[in-house]
Amino acid sequence: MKRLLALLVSLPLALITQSALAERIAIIAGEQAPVSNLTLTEAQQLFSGQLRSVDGHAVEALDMPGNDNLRNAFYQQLLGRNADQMRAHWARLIFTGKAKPPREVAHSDEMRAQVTRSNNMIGYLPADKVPANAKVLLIIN
Amino acid sequence: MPRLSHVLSGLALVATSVPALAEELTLEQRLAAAEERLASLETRKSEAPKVAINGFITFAMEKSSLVEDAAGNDLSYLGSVDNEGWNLNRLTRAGLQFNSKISDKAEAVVQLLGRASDDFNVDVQWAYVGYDLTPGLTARAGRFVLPFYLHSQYTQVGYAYPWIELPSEQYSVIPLDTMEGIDLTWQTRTGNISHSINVFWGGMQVDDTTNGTTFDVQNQHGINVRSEWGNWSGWYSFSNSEVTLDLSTVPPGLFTSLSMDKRYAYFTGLGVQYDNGSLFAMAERGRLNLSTPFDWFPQTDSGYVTVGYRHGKWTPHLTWAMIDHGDTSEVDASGVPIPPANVDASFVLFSSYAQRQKSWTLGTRYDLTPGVALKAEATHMYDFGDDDFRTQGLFSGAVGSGTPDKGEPWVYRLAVESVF
Repeated sequence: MKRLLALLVSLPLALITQSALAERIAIIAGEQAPVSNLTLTEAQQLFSGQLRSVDGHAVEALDMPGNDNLRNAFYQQLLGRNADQMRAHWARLIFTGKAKPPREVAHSDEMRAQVTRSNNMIGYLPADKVPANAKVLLIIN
Repeated sequence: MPRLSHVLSGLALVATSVPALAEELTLEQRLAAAEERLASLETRKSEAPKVAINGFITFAMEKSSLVEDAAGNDLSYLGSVDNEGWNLNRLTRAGLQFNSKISDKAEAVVQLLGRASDDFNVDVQWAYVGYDLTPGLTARAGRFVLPFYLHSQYTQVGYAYPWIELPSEQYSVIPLDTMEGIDLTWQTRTGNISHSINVFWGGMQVDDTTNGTTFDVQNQHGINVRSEWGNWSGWYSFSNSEVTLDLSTVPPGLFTSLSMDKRYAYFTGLGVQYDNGSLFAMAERGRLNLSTPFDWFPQTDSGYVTVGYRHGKWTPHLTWAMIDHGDTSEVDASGVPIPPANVDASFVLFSSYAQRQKSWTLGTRYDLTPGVALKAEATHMYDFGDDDFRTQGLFSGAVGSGTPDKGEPWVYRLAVESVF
């Protein structure tokens, strides 16, 4: 009985640490952008090259650089894919001319600058680092 | 001492200008302004380059077990892989792709491919100009890779799929080739399902290694649809064409009446794929048929099923594949006996194209780092025919050689694959 109790206590704990590990990441656009929210499916399609416009407005996704931790966490949380898998995914699209991977920025400052200066770029940042002149389209946990 | 005095005067300048500025802006404001300038410089630096270059390299080595027919003739897999040493060049290849944005709506793409088996002589796989008619509708003209199979458009990019060699029962049905033509691709969505619908028209020439002739394929047109829904994707393709084949030059010169002049041909394929990030499965079916005089061409059915599981860096996978031909009873005797055995000419041709084989492939992929993967696989082939009709499957040997009979037919492969 003691063991069962211990198990019952540790289970929610395990769940809490699990979700604490997952970073809250915001998908963002400039405050002037015509798009004001994205569904999870739209976000998944946009960042895997299957979506080029939202509600009739052309959009362009931006990515953090190749070995970035935020980027790895973002794709793991959004699509359940690691860096190797995303690389293979893009190889399938690039070499058939079907789609190009999102343009890579150099760091999060540039991500913020690019997104807030345009009205068609969509990027991502940690949810607590979204600047005031950007709008959050979707939060990924 | 002139250098020291320079430094000193420079320092003095800095010392006077800093307090002057500080009167107007706080430190935080200045920092923010500097960050802004930096970001704007970085923005300019990473503007999309005019020409994007991507490449891929595959190094693969393969070898088979000893395979012989009943009479002891050596047989080799796809005409080039045998037990006498590692074949290093059949699958070794490298490619470079250049994408250039001409304007917001127009793009030019050229992909060059060199195969080790061809001494790395460069061949153009893709060369087209694309134009976005609307954000979801793109027209292209130039050279394309045939859109027949689920994986056919990136068949040269081994890094993109789990195997070293795509299941050859399915992927050798039509020698993978390019066509010249035009196409139109429409990307759309119905609810949560995204679709890419492509229609194309063009022509090509397919070298027929079986008989040393060339299939001239004209007016090739078709449609293919790829639909994606979460972890699922589906593929359907249909294409038809007019095929001309001159058999008058094939020795001993008795096949002329079986030549094809703008005869109808079709290929249809169906595929389904599931991938939840760790577990994946895919299956594909294909059917090729050519309308030929005296029905000498065997309708060819092919397919495979694959399951695999990604665990960290490792991706073990298992595939069962098959290819089979139409029944011999469908062949109409042409009335041209071919000596010495005086077998009917249409039956001789049927036999040279009819393939039957099943296989199991067990392999694994190891992702060394994003962009580089190592792979190993082993394929065991069996069931090359029944009592009525025996084929060589995907093996071949000297003229007059028969079905694999002695030894267990195995092919082993090792590869390094990269994209960059």
